[in-house]
Amino acid sequence: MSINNRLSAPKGLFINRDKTVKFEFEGIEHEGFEGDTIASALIANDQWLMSRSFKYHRPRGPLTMAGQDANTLVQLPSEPNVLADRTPLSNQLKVQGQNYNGSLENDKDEKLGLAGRFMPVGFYYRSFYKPKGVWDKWEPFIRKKAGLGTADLTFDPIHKDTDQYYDKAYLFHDVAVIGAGPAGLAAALKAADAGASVLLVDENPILGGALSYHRFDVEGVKAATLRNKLVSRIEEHENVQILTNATCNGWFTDNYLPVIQGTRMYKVRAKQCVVASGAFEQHVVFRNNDVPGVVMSSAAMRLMSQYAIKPAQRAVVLTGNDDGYLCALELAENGVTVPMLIDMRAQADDLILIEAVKSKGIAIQNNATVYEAIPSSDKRHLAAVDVRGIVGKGAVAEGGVTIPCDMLCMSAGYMPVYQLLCQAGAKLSYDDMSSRFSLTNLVDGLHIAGSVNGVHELELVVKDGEYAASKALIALGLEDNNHNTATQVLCTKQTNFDWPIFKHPKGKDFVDFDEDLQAKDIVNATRLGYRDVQLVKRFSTVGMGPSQGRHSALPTARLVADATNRTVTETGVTTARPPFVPEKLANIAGRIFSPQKRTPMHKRHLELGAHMIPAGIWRRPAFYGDPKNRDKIIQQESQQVRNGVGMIDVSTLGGLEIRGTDAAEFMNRIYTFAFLKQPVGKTRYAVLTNEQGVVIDDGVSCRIADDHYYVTATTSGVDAVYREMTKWNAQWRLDVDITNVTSAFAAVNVAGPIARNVMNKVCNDVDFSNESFPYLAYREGTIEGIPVRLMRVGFVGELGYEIHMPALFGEFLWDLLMVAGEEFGMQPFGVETQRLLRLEKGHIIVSQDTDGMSHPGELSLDWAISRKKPFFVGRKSVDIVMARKQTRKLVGFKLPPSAIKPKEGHIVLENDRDPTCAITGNITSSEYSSTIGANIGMAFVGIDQQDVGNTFPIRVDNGAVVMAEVVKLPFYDANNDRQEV
Amino acid sequence: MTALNNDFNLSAASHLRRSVVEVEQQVSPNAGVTISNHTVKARIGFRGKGAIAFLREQGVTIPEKPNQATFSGGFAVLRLSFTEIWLLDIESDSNETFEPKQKSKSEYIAALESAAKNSPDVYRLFCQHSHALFSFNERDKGTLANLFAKICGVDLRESVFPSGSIAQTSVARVNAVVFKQVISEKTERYYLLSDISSSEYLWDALVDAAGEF
Repeated sequence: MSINNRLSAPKGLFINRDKTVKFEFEGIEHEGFEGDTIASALIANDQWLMSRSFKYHRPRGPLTMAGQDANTLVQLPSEPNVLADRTPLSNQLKVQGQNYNGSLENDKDEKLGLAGRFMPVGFYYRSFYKPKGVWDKWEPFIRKKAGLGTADLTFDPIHKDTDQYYDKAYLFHDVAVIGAGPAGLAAALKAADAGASVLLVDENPILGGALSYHRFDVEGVKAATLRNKLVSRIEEHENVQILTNATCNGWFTDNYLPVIQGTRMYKVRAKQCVVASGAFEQHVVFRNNDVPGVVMSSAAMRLMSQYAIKPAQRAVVLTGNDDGYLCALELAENGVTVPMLIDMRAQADDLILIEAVKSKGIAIQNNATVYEAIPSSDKRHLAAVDVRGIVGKGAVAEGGVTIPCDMLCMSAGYMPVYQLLCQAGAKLSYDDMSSRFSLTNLVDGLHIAGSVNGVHELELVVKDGEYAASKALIALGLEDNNHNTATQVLCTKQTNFDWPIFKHPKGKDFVDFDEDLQAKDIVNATRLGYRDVQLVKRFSTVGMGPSQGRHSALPTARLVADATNRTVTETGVTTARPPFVPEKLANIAGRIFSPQKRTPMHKRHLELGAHMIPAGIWRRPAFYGDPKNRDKIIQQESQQVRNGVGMIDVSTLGGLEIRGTDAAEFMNRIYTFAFLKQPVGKTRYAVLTNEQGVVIDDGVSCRIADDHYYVTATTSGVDAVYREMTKWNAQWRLDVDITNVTSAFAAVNVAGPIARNVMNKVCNDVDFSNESFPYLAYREGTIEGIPVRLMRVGFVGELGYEIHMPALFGEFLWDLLMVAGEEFGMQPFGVETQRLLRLEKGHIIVSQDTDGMSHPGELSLDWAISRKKPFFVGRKSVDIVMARKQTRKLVGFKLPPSAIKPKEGHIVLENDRDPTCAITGNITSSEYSSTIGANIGMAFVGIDQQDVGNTFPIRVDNGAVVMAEVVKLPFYDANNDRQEV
Repeated sequence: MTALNNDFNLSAASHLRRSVVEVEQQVSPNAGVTISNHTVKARIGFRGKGAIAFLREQGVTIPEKPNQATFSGGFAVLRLSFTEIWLLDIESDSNETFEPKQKSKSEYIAALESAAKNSPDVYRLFCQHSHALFSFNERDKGTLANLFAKICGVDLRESVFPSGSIAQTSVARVNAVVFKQVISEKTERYYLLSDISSSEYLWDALVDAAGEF
């Protein structure tokens, strides 16, 4: 580190000179100070070359020193495209350049610049598409060249042992102030003084904004004085929360603001929002305006004030406003020789300023510009500037003077940091006469202050901040402590030079540094017919790079306007969408909440070696054992149920309590079957259709009392069923209470020929004989004092009892039943086994064997529809769709075990002869059944294919076709002998 | 009226209840937050046109408005709507007796459940088994508001969410009932009721969120 480059205090507001930080850049060790950015530390080490440009691989160094451009993109070990002028230095940090072929210093791809004339805008679109097939040859080469940096694919956004922990949090405030410059500080103070809870957000490490680097007066004292005064009050104010190093990255309705600070994204909810985001300094377009050493005036000021770096030995200032004069003064007072200040204006207005500059021995050249920046022989840094007189709009004199210098500071004016405001619907307007911007049409609750509002005089900026706060306070209904009503300010200070564009016949006069777009690229786009600035943007990619048009939007608008004989007012500027700055995927992909439901027996399933699978939001055991042995295990588990007894956790089954005087009437209206006369102590199959007549759920209705039903629903459907029920009863106003008790109950199904033995062993107050507790009956009892609901069910086709128990007893009763079943060889079985068992029995699963068009008729559920009752939800539609000519039917099918087993989702064809024939259906369920000794399944088939004994073709993997036979359902125990024993 | 036996009591067999969250208490790394699991403690809920009158007859003090909670005798009484009330044992051992009932809290809840069976328009709710209950204590005031700001989109700071407030909201993307009790000028206690089937997930999310405190 060159100590000689560092200026003495109070310069260096950001750095701590007591702490040296060592780091590497391109393998070479450097030193900086704590508080330095990578870029400032490199400049302090005389390393200006930091990156290579995107297209031509031109050498690039910092332009803004504020993270507003893409010239400082570097590679960190686990992160590409890091802005070196925004990223703090840390000890032992290893930094590399990126986007080069060879080394940063000697990039072999630099010669691409020589071929620039052969690669105009739109070159890619127009060059590689013919002759046909040529793209395939170009693509690998282009893809290799495309992209910047290398992503760390092992990056984990949640790594608790380190600081690498990305998450999100809400913040709630009355007023959010975005930007802690003089306007933002004034606004925050006024709002806080009035009692508002204020959030103050700034992207810099300290408060002050322009007060931390800009010079506002000849003496150079105003900024520091005002900053000290405002910041000391703000930092002590109990109503203000300060977020520094934080970026408000978007504006969403009702002042919902994502603010990113390091690894955390704050989701800010603010009742009022004041945007005091400042303005971006604008560059001048001339040849080689991208050579390292050509910087914004504000960048030079930042280097001096924030990092105590003497930025150059000999600097020229090129300006279109008074701020260039202040920059020249600052440079001169900090030991930089300033041979010339070039003012593009014919005459500056501020005589005191002119005299102050002259008194430093700085020559002032009015009505002139830099026509070309001349790089050093190695092209790595600025060596001189070619200065020409301005003879017209964008035109310069033939001859000029060459002034040696190692820095050129540009100040063509300012563009408001309008992004957040335009995201909120504000209109950005440009006045061609005054070259001033204005933002109008602000939404309620959103206010604007400072230079973003076109106010540049420091005293007026402060007043503008107070005025914005005052409007926010009025909206909040908070009284102003001082009873002062701030007044609107009007600033007439001219800051923008109207035409800072000086095209050069040899080009390299960059409008957009990100994409290496030159002035002629923009003009040529208009000549190709892209008159609209938005089309120019999309065709040329101007403004689509990392800096998102911060510096290119205005010159592009000016060039498009000029080329199409319109005004900038007429052309407008390109839009701005969130995010404001590039947002790391880690900020989005960091800690994410992914809720998961587990049954009370979950731990037991894991202990038993269950292979868990998702079932909606739930986790369920598919089967118990190694997934590699899936098919074998499923057959074993199914045989256990067919021949002995098994137990499955069915806690995920939906549960709904319907209670009240009108409970039966409600059930009768909701479900398709008849429920008014359902006996107490009995269960009944319940099918739910929607208003379109589509089957959307099914379950079992248990009548506990005349005024009390307990209804099950499918695991994934119960929430929708509950919503439907409450929605309908909001209309019907029946006297019922509807409660979703899904989670309140755990449940198991003990099934198999000897299931009764297990039940008799654990439950003493219920008679489980077939006579007392027949098939489809409902009973209540206790097990070890625990109340249980018992249903005699047949879903898997065997004698079976569903035991529904309050959830806190789920694990206890599972353990108890497992022990009780030991002597009968009872084993647990999983949901995939259950799917096979119910398939053998021909039972459908709604949503697996149905789709969004399935009506009861094509599912053969006619029997579950009561035609005697006047109404049920979907009745009219069911009647209509079932009366129509039917097009498909859900049928059972069978294939020999040696045949290829179709997969669920495979398509059913009209015939097996014509490969282009119609698709008539699809496979909904398919599994090998060792009980049946065949591959069995269910499928939608064409109505002409439904007859038992027919065969139909199924297209399986790899386009092969297998023929399946339609069989009558069920596959197993057609007389129900086994489940009704 | 036909009915099966009327003995299906949710408050039965309290000694056999098991929480899937096996941890009873978790202290955050810097001891700023303590999270406790009260899932197996006694509670009951009632809903219906007759619920308020029934509970008043039983001597329960009902909050005046929905989304308010009151605290007495180791119970929290939550009014979740005009006609829905939950009573929760939130503090001491459920087997301890409490004044003035001279019953254990479990017995008291069981007695309420029994009494409700014959009360018209009173529907017993299933919160004993459908919900997990966690409480949160803070060492320094404001910590819990910051903790919840990481997992909940509702502003729970004291200025807008005073003692006895209830938020029926989403916490870490699961439905939750959050309510607050001010313990002293320096500390607040939060309670959270949430679906029991996602309680393990939620517990982990809460402990994770508390990690920085």
